[in-house]
Amino acid sequence: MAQILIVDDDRDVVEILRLVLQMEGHQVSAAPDGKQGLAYLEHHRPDMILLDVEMPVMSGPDMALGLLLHDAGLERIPILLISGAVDLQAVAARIGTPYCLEKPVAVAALLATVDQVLGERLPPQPLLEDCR
Amino acid sequence: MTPPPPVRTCLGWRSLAVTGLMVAAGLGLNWAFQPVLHGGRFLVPILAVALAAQLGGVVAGLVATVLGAVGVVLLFFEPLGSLRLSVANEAFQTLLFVAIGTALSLVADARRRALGAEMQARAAADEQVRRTATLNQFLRSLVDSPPDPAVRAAIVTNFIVETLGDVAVVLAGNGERWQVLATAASPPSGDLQSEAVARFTAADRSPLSPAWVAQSGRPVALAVTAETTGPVLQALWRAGARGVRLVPLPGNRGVVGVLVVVYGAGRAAAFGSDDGLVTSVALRAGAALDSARLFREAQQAVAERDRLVAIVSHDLKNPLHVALMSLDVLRRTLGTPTSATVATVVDSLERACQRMNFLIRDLLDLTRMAAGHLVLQCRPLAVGDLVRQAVAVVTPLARQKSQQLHVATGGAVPVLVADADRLMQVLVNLLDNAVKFTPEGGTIRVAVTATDTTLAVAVTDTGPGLKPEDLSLVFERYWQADHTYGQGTGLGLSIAKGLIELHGGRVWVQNGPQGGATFGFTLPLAAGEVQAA
Repeated sequence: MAQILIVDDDRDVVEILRLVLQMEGHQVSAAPDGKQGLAYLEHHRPDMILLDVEMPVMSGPDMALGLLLHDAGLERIPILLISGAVDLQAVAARIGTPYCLEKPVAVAALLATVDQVLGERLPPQPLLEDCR
Repeated sequence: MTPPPPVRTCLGWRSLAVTGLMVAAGLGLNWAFQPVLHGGRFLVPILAVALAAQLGGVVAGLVATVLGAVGVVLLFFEPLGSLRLSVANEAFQTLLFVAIGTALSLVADARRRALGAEMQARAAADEQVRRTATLNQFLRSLVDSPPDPAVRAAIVTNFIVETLGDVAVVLAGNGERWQVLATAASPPSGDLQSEAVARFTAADRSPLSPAWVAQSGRPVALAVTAETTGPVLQALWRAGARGVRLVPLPGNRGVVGVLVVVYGAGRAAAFGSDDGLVTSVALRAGAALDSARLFREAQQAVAERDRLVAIVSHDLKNPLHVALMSLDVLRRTLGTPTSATVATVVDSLERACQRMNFLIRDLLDLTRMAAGHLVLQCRPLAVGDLVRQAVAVVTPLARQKSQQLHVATGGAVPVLVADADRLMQVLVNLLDNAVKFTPEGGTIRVAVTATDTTLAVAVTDTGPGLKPEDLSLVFERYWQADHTYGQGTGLGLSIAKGLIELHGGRVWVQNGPQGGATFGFTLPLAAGEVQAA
């Protein structure tokens, strides 16, 4: 069972993701934007982050950059990008995470990917070429 | 434009001297050849008259006639040194000489006039041809230029300073705010140009302002002199202007700009005579600027539409994601057995959401393809597997209609380098259409064949086939078979075509001899790093 942080500005999206993940037994926290996500991480160390791309206040990529600049081990948390952005693959490549899912996502696909992330725990590596 | 030389009709001092000299020479020759020309005293003078008339015109001819007659009478007829004619034969000769001299002068002059008129006409025609050629060349460069208002305005100003004025400025704007689209000066006359630009871009509503000319739609032309009043004209006069012309540039929906031509001292003559040329230039320039504006507006509209589609599609994805995932959760929590009604409702909700999802994807794909932003993620893939996966996707639907699905892969299917998701999208689209248009119990065949250089996939159905006139249209955007209107976006085949062409392949369609239609595509087998432009 893992600790998962969801960062997404759409409340309905957060709620359904939380529900699905909790049904699998994970502990879920949520933040509505990148800034609050970073604030949460001041005191918590989740196993992975489910990160949206376009958000007010601070976008997903900006938050990912914030994690990278933070040298307290936050940069080692794996990120699963989950968004409807048209250039999702390019965004994932920029952040350097090998994990991304394009909305809408089926429950089975989400759970499989979350399992994969928790199994591999590959941290973001900027300039990584591809995304699975 | 240089005016043709004027026809000379009056006698200048130089002509008079030449005429006198010729008559004197004639009389001298008469004297020298006196023994030979005995009796023909007027033979040489008549030649002098002819020459004088030819060179100097009617007056020169008449003067030569009089001088010749007086000279011969004084020098050759008895009593010498007197104008008195005592012999009847000599009087007759003199009268004849005067008559012939007068006639020669008149004829020579008429010829000269005719010649002059002809030269003038020829010069005018040459000028007209030259003008037309210059204007045509100008028009051609306008038409060939990119639809950028600044580029087109620059062509106009360059043409004006090459042919007419010293400074040309094309202004665009409305009301009192006018800005320079292009300006040129020839020869580069810094003061006049900067003065013209400064004066005509300043807020002004006088009759000599772009605002006024644009509003009235009428050109204004003013000669600039030392006595000209008004700050604009005085400033232009000081900078060297001798004439100024403001011409509206007419577009489809009113004036799109104003052309300012300033004439310096060297081009003052052109100022009076170029009205027609400036008008035709203005007409063409207006049309060119107008079309550039329309093109830019259309481009902006397309970009705006694409942006809107992207935003809307992206924002639609969130609620769709929630709905689909919620249905998924609902199905899982309901467990089995579920009541038939609930299962049906969940199924139809899910199908509706999926359809919406595909519509959004289609719209996004199309806008991205149109903008050249769709990039393929190519990697080596097994075509056979891909075809079987696509068939599996449509199998439930085909089963509902009791249709047979056959896949034939002739021999070894090579490994293809392509974007698997996109190729899958194309295959599912073709298969989905085949299932949709094939009646209950029909058959759908998928054939995969390969040569050394190409791979071909064909999907043949036993549906009604296509109307011959539709064969060339099916891959067009928004085309839909009549009876399916409203069931989709009509974008699927157009997107399939775009995706295959991005891979360097092509799509095709044909009707079978016994009915049914075959949709297919070919892909080059060396499609290595295929990417969208």
